[in-house]
Amino acid sequence: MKKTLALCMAGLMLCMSGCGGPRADEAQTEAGQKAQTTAAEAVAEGEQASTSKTELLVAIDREPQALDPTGSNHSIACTIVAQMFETLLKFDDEMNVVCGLAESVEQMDELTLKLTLRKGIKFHNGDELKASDVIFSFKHAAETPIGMPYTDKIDLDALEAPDDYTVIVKTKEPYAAIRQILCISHLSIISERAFTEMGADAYARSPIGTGPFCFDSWSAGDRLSITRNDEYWGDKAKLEKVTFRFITEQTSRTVEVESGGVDMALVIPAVDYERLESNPDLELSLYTSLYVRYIAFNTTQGPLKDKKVREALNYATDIDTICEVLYTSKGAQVSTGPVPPGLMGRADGLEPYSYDPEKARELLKEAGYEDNLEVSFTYLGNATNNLMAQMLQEQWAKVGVTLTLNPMESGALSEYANGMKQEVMPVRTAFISGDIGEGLETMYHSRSQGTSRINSDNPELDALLDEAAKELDEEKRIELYKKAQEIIHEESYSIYLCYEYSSIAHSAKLRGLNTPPTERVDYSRLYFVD
Amino acid sequence: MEEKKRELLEIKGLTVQYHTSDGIVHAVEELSFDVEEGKTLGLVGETGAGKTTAVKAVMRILPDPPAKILSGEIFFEGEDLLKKSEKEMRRIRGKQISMIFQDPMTSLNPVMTVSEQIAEVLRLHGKITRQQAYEKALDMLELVGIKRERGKDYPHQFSGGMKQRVVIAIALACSPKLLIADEPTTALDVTIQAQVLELMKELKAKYKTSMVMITHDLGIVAETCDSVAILYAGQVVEYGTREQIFKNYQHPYTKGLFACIPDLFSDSNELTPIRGLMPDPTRLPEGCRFHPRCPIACERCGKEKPGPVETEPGHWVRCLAAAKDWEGGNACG
Amino acid sequence: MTKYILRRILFMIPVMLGVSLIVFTLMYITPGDPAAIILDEGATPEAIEMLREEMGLNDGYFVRFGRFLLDVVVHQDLGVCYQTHQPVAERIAETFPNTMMLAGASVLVAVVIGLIMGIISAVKQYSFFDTAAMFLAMVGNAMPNFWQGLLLMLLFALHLKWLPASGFGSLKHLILPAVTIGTSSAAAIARMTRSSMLEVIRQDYIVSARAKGQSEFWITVRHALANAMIPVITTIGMQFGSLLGGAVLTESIFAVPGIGKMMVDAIKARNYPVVQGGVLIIALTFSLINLLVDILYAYIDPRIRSQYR
Repeated sequence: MKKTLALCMAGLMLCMSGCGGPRADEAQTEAGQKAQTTAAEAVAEGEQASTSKTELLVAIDREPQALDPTGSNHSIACTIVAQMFETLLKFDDEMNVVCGLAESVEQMDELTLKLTLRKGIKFHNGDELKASDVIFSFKHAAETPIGMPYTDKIDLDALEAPDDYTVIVKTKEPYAAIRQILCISHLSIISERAFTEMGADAYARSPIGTGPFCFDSWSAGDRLSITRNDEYWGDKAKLEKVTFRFITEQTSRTVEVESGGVDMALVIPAVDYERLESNPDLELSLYTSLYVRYIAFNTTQGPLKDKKVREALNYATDIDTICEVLYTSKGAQVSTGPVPPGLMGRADGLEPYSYDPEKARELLKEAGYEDNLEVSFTYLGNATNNLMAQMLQEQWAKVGVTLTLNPMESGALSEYANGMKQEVMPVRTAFISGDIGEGLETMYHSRSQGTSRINSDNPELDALLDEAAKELDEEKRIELYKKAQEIIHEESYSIYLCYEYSSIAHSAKLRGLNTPPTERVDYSRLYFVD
Repeated sequence: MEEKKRELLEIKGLTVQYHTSDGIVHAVEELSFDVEEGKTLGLVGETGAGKTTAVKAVMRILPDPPAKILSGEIFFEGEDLLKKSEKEMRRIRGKQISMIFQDPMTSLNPVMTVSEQIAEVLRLHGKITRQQAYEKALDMLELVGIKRERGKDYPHQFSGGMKQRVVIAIALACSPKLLIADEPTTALDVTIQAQVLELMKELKAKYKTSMVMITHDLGIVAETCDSVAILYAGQVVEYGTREQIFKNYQHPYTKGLFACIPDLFSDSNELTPIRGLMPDPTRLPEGCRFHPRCPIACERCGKEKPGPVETEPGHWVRCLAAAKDWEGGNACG
Repeated sequence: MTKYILRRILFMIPVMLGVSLIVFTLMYITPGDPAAIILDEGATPEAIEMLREEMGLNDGYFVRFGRFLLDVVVHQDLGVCYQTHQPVAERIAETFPNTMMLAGASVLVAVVIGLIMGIISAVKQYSFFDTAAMFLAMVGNAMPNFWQGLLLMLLFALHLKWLPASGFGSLKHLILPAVTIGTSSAAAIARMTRSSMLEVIRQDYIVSARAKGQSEFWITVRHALANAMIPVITTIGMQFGSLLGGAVLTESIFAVPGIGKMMVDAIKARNYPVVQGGVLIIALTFSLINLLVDILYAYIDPRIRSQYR
């Protein structure tokens, strides 16, 4: 009798710790759910979805390499994948982790997660989703170069499927961000049977997933389309078909959306913002993404080893002016720290390095340089960077620093930087996994030497980041990350430039657009009004 | 009593200028000569004398932007060609008056077969079918001594002499009344020259064509021409029958021309040229155009333009000295 | 004639071999790692190394080139795209016809405009038309395609809404890019036609034709043009040949899924198989076009025909 009661209590407690991710905060989950309901109500209340126009044409800036979850790292490819495939857990619009294909998740111990799959979910080919598919997907992702960095933390040998609808995921060490990892599109669940039958290449070009859209057609170099999955387990898509046209020339994309050739266009150049906004038939959405732009100091090279030098260069830079010129006030938000807004654990209130040439000179003198500091600026030779280079040259010349310019072509640049040969370099990094820890590690952990352009080796920082990665207690974790950000800020590893805006221009008749920082637009929510 | 001569072609007072950026070229001035029916007129003169200009004026194929016909009349069968419309002229060209040019290497269209080129002129001037024209063209080839099978060949497949024969075939295809031959044998070597001239004489006799033979070779004149006009600097300086000119030339220029011909039987090592050069046609000398080079020129020659003087019936000379002889006056001492 | 053609085709083989070798060597020595580019952001050194092994990038120069040759000659296999794993032959088969259509349309525009301008200019030399035409030709040549394309797009797609701004598939989509390219090519053709015509109408056989009583119109068409066209045909052939290499800028602006754009993107991404395959096809096509132009020459000019016997 006692045993049964205990089991029931345990069961009750387990159920209570179910969906909602690391935040056991009920209020948050409710808020998330509320947001979804309001959206649904909006449709029901005011506007009727058009029955005549059910096809959407979108102009995107590059053709996806492949359409399977581990096919590409590019944002747009991942977004299209996310329409056809689904993950066990997913982010809602506020970056909270909520349930996806799994209907519940339980933290069994500090290494183990137990996920229960929904029943009756079908792949586009009619097969039912089973736990074996999940295990297959993760193991497959681990073998691909693109998926590998994400499955790194998972103990693949310990993956278990005790029954058709339960998956046990174990991490090699306690890893707090494991739930965020399970939201990443690279870890979407693929159909074991279809994949084995078709082979990797065919699957990548004609994918089969569980999502609200099915793959329809792909005309190389021109366009690809997806159509509504009428057997979808959740809220079915409102649109019948979405076609993505590959238009690499940015002006062409703008002209197309303005002339009505397409209904929606992504990645709009800042110069067109004003015109688009003043057009009553169009709407322009600008939102911060997971990308940060900064100027990185390679701490393994010469004068940049010295913190004082780095600080001095920070004071010598007029960030506001640079951002204004390069991105215009509409194009980006000036950074105030290494982490973009919207991410949990972000330290607000870091004191920015003001524009203070006097102080810069002082610091340089203290470091032993007086009008004789020479550094090089290595960058991808495009229009924006050329402008940035010139401005930096001018600004730093005022404090006695000679900046030599070293423009390079993209392929050559990666190789050069991977060899840690550069000194100062403009960088654009994304907090790709949506988790603050991953991003900070990518940029500032000593493990990332060779890929981060800062190549820092700070034992104190490393320890903080490593500890935080393991810390399952949410609040403690946030504290650790805040400390880490303070150190990063103090060490002046880089000059923060801006948080990049993502842009979408679309017809005013299109409704339901969500713009999360992950850039994963949910096309199943879109619809036209007449 | 003289026979009433029938003049096929009468040129009266033709003046042609070329307006170029370097100045006005006085190509031909107050030019007059006639061609009798069935007879051959030789037009003799150095390069630049205006021979080609004169005959192109007859055909009205002078290049119009630079060339301007200032005055004159050209009567062909009694009608003034200068007053005719372009359309009317096109009907005359190739049919009534034909012309053959100096350089056979370049006067045939390289991308058309020879039979096509002969057929072209036939079809321009008669209502005949392609097939008929083709057959007739082959007939013409045979006439000029070329095998029929060669009709489908292209000009570059023929030698110079044969090309010229083709040119003659084209010119005579429509049985023109007047054939103008502009130095037809100058570009050919001597033996071929003889053949071609022979052919021309034959055909001329057969078709009773009148001819204007432009040449600077007095030998050819002797062989083929009935009358001769000597041109110098755009004017006819002497004109008469072959006998008159060859036996009794008057003009100092004509004298000079004949003197140029080397004598087979003399021992001299040098040729006797006419001293000096043809005048710059944009700046012709005052008075008699020949006077700067003339061995017997006097002061008067530099001031007065000599008019044509008839020294014998039908023999005209433009020289003050000649006038003196005839009229017994005292022109140049 | 057949012997000549066979000889020419035989000569194409060393040409293509040479071209392949040069391009392969250039890509080999150019810095830039295709694996790193494919992986883009989030590329760890281990991941890059893993991909490099998969792609066979760590093998030596001769091994890789030898492998390429073997694949092409023995298996008729142009390899597989590094990025999408699509067979290169398929990729080319999808994009090349589009470029051919664009090239064909552009040449048509260029020839029509260029020939007419050239002929009239020559016949009415020094007239107002002549000066104006040559001036326009120079302007058309000097205007960068990029800029011209965008201007046309703004005018016809945005303001007038007569034509689609970009894309491919119907005749309407072909007009703007073909006009953009065609007007620049037209300039070269007009000038060539003009100078060739001017030379020809001074020839004796033109005067002969006039002396036959032929009308000016037919003299221009039958006698002058037939002779003047010979160098012009070369120019046109060369233009068409180079356009088949893809008018990259125009293809980018108008989102034409052609081979030029494919090649440039492939080079940037160090997508070696696509570059090699593409270059081979373009070299082959160019050689074939050269051959065709020469055959056409012989067809038009009987003097050259004799040489080939």
